This record gives sequence, C-alpha cells and structure tokens, in this order.
Amino acid sequence: MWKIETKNPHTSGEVRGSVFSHIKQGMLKKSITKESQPLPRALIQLHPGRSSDSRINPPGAPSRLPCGSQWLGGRDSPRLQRRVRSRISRDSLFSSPLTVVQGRKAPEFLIYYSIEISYVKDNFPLRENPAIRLEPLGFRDIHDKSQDPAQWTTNENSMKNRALYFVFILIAARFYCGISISYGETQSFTDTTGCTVELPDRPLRVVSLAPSITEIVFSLGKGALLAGVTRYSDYPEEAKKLPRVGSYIRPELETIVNLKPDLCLAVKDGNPKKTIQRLKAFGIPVYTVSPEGIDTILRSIKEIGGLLNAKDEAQNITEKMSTQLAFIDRAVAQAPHKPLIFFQIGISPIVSVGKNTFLNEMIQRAGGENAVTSPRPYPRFSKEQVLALAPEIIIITSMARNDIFEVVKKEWESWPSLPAVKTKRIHVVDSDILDRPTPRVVDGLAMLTALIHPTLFKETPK
Amino acid sequence: MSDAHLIQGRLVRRIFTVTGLLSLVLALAVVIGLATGPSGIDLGPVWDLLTGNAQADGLQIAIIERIRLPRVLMALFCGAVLSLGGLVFQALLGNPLAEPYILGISGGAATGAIIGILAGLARVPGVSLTAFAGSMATLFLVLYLARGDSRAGRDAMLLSGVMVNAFCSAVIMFLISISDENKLHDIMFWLMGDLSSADMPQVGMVAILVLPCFAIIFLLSHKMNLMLMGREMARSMGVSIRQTTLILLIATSFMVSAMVCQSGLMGFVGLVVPHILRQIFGSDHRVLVPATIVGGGAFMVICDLLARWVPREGEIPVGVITAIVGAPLFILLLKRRA
Repeated sequence: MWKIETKNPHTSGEVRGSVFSHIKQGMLKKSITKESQPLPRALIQLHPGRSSDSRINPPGAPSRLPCGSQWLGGRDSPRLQRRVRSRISRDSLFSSPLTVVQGRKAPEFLIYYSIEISYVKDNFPLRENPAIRLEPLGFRDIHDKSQDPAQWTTNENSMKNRALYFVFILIAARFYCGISISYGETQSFTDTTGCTVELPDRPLRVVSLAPSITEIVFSLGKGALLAGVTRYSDYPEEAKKLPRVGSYIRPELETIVNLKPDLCLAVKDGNPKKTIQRLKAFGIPVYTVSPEGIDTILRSIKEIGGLLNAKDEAQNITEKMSTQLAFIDRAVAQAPHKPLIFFQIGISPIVSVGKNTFLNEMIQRAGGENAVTSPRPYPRFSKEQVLALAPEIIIITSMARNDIFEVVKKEWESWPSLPAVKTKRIHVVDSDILDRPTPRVVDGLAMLTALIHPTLFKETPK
Repeated sequence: MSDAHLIQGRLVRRIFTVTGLLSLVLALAVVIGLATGPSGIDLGPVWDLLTGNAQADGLQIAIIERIRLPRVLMALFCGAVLSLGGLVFQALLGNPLAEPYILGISGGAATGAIIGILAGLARVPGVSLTAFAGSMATLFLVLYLARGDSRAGRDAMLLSGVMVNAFCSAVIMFLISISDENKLHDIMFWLMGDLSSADMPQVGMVAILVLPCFAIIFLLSHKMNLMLMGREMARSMGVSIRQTTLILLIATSFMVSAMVCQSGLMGFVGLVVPHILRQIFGSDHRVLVPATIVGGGAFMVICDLLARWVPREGEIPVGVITAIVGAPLFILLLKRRA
C-alpha cells in the first residue's frame, strides 16, 4: 500500500490510496493508541498537489522545492500540537521556507507529502470543512545519506503508523486554523478575448482588477472570495476594506502577485495588456471580461458567476435585470418623442460622450437622442458648440458630492436660449450607477428614463 | 618612458578606485532596491536569492527576479545614460548647464515617442525609432541654430536648445490635447518618467543599445579632456574636433533616445550627478566617465526605490523624485561654489 514509485521528490508520482482511505480502515485508531510512546522528531514537507503546482510555484521560479514544511517532531506531544496549531496557516503551509525550530535537535525523519485539499459540498461557510487529502510521498531517515527518493521508504510497518499520527495532527491543525485552499480539478474557460484560461474549479483568492468587477462579485454573494481590489472599488461598503492593488489603469503587478490569487478578473478595456500578460507569466490565471454594453454586462455577470460557482445567483440577477430592462424598453417604446440630450461628463473642458460608448447606449435605451454625433468616444466641447447643439435636456454626471456641479448647472441656466433651460431640464446625477457596468446599471437606466420621460412611469408604479 | 608608465599606472589605479568605490554604493542601492516592495523593505528574500538558499520562498524570489530586478536594472541604465549624457554635453559645450533634457534632446525624443505611441506603433522598434528620429532632428536643429550665430558662441547652442525644448514641450502639449483619453494616461505617466512596466527583454534591449555607447564615450574621454582645454589646444594635440564632437553627439543622443523611449522623461539627473562627481573626483574625464555611469546608476536606483517606498499606496513617478531630490541638491552645490 505504501510503496513509493516516485522518481522525482518534487512531484507526487504514483501513490495508491489516500490518507482518508487508511483512516477508514481503522489505521488511525491504531496509531492514536500509540500516542503514549515517544515520537520521533520529524519534519513534514508538504508539496502542493499536482493540479495546483503552477499556482504556487510559478514556472521558472528558482525554487520548486518545498512549498511548506512544518516541524512536527518532538517528544512532548501536547506542546507539539500547540505549536502546529499556531504555526500552520494558509500562508505558512504553502509558501513558508523551511521552518527550523530553534533549540530543537535535527529531525530524524523527513516525511514528504503531496497535499490536495478539495471541498466536499457546496454552500459551506468559507474556511470550513474542506476535505484534506494528504498523500505520503515518502519518508526519509535523515541519517540515511542516500539521495535517491526511491530508497526513501522501505520499512513500511515501522513508519506508517508514525506517519499517520502526523497526518492526524495535521488534519486537526487544519481544522483549528481553517486553512482554506481548494485544489482539485482545474477547468478550462475561454474568455472574451479568446484566451483559454485554466482555472481551479473553486477559486478562493480572487483579485478584481476593476471597480465594476468588484461590484459584480459582491452582487453574486462571493465578496468573501476577493483577496484584492483596485482603488475606487467603493461599492458595496465592504469593498472599501479590501486590500488595494493599484488603480485599474495601473494595477501594481507586485502587489497582485504577492496576494497569491488563484484567479484574476480583468476588463478588456482599461487594464493594461502588458500587466495581464505578466500576470499570466506568473502562472496566475486571468479571466478577461468586456462589459461594454448592457447585453455584455449580462453576459459578464453570467461568466463571473460560472467562474465563482455562483451560477444560480448569476441567473437570478440577470433574470431580474432582464425583466427590468424589458419593462423599461416597453415603456420607452410608447414614448412619442426622443428628446435631444447633452450628456456632460467633464466640467472644464466640457466633455461629452460620442457614439460607440456605453453612455450613448444608455441614452438611446432610455429613449433619448444623444446630441453629440462625434465618432470620438469622449469629445471636448466649448460652450458655444453646446449652445449650437440646442439640447432639450442637459445631464451632468457628478463623481463627487460637492457643489461644483450645482455651479455648472447655474452657469447653463444663464443661457435662456437653451431649450433645456426653458423647460428647466438640467439634471445632476450620480455617475457611479450610470457608467459602471454592474448590476446597478439597470437602476441607472431606470433613473435616466425617468428623467428623460417623466410621464412614462407615472401610471405604472415600480 | 617610465614616467609615462607611472602616470598611466596611477591613472588606471585611480579609475579603478573611484569606480570600485561607487560600485559599492551602487551594489548597496541595488540590494535595497530589490528589497523594497509595496509593503516596505525586506532584506530576507534578497539574502536568500544571493546565497542561493534552496528552501527560500519561491514566490518572493520570483517577485524579486521578475518584477523588481528588471525595474532596478532599468533605473540603473536610465541613471547611467542620462548622467553620462549630461557629462558629455557639459564637456562638449563647455557649459555647466548643458544636459540632454535642457538641450532638447530628451524633449525631441519624447515628441518622437509620443507621435509613435499615438500612431499605435509597438514600443520596439517603432516607438524607439521615432524617438531616435525626434532626438536627432532636435540635435541637428540645435547644432544648426547655434552655428548661425557665431558671436554668442557656445551659449548659442544652449539657448537654442532651450528654445527647441520649449517648442517640443508645446508640441507634446498639443498632441496630448488632441489625443484620446485612454492613451492620455499612458502618455502622462510616461512624461513624468515611469519605470514600473520594465521587464527583462526591455532591459536586455536597452543594454545592447547603450553599452557600446558607453564604450565609445569612454574611449573618447581623453579627447574630451583636451577639448575642454580649448579648441586651439586640442587641435594642436591632434584632436579632430569636428569628428570627435560629431561622434560624441550621435552616440549620446542615440543612447538618450533609446533610454527615453523606455523610461520616459526625467530631468536633472544629467545635471546633478556629473556636477557632484566632478566636485568630488576632479575633472579628468577618464575617471569621470566610468564614475558617472556607476554613480548615475546608483542615484537613479535610489530615486526609484524612494518612488516606490515613500507613498503609502501606489507610487510616484520617478521623474518627480529626481527633480525633487535633484533640484535642491543642485542649488546647494551652486551656492557652495559661489
């Protein structure tokens, strides 16, 4: 049963049976009864499971060796357990260098394990109840000078009970400390840029590279998976507490790599391609979404839901959004007239939105007509040009809560020749729900429609 | 004969002592630079890397090798190139204010590079070539303008350089004002000097382009000494002034433009480093050229690590640090001299 056939100490090789199967066979019980006898000093070295190899040891990294080593030996088991409990943590397990406990004698044995942890069932509270699977790779007597791994373990009977005892401690320690790393099968996804991404079936450390993605992940109820977000990720409130990894235009490579994510969610427009490439070179899977329009937002939510095992949530959200969208579409279809709208997103200089932008789509979907027909995405305007466009409605988006937008509104109101001024239709709106491609965009659209067609919603209260 | 030998030997020793001394500073700066991350300075992983500790944390080592090392090397080259550029220009023009940035060489390269970026060219070779074209164009423009007015002499070159630089800045501002928002951010960071996106292939390319220029300039360093003694003197010593000047100018603008298109604009480096070193080690260019390369590298590596370390979140463009550190240092130096 414990025959080791591996030739390479760094990969798990062929090992039959898992620790669990041994435990089931009652061997654990036997080993616990032997607790009273002194334990040998041993050092357990954990190697990541095969599937996760590239995530912990990026390809090309110099040290592909022990990813986690834990001193487990000693002749005083209560203290030993305490030590293990306090020392094994998610990080030490997978990235700490060899832990040499001071004042201890050199280990008598090295025990090599391959580790695989996977989740047994859905909907567990995070960091609880993952099944841990430890596969012994071999034992080595430290005094045995032979470096050939094939020679490591020979004496089955004397070794395995001790080894199992350690494994038991390890599992106990795991439950105390709540290591949560999901390993297991990887899945292949093809993202919107056409790149194939190998992802763990249950990513647990996700870095979001845009505020909109952060919002989508939270809306799917998976905010707890986020290990890092970009600056300006300010919705919902919990997002503000997460570690920052730079802005979405300039994500900080080093900070992201340091977070050891098992998935990065990027946006096609905005995140620099070079950073994405370099992240991938570190073995970090990057999935790119491109939420450019309302339909693609729905698709992105579904995609992210699929990645994070939140398909049902994604389905619920997108269905709700679709219903709301259909409602708005029906209402807008009854509108007799499409007013000309000037959408102001910049104050000095005056900047508006051209064709082929997200906001242009929003204006049209809300039953308005963009006064700007420029092919450039964010054209600049002078006051004179705006006056010449004669918009019926002016909408100013505000990024911050300050009075400057009211001042801008006052300035427009000093031009009574503007149709928008005559009918008093200059509005200041919150930009976040309008220009962030998130589930909230439907609320933004509803608000915009209500501004453009105030009469439409009167008879059908929401 | 033996006297000449003795002097030669003394010079070689002096070159080695000075360069060795500065190399120590540089090595220290590099080590600290490698140890500086977003979470502060941690020497442990660098030590592991240097000692080849097989048990070291693979992730930290990878971060150092693949993110910080290219960046530190890029800073090193950048400082070396810009400082050496300053030294050469100061010697050629006999003017302590000369520097690639002030002479408009950097500005020309920047204009060329921005045109390249806006045209959607790749960094290599597209943008590099437009940057080089830009710097050569400004260089010849400056040379041409300076030649026309012989009365002002060498000052004319500086003056026309300043004007060309002002013109380039205006062109850059114009290009920025008509460019798209999404390219704008790139360009702005680049204008302030930015090393954060450096990777190994980039560093390798810069090294290939820049190291031969270092060699050429070092070989011509004695001629620079002679030229500083006056044109007549130099000519009588057998220096072909036209040829030497041309080679030095082309080599310098070539390496400056190769650098600028990777790192962006950084001022004051070429002014501060040569002047400080000249004050400490005297004005023999045979000593100064290697000293400037190593010292300039160290200066920039330190500025870059400050740029990463000072702000609590994110980082400051390096160009801002070089100017903030460089300008007061320079003023202090001028004051002391006066």
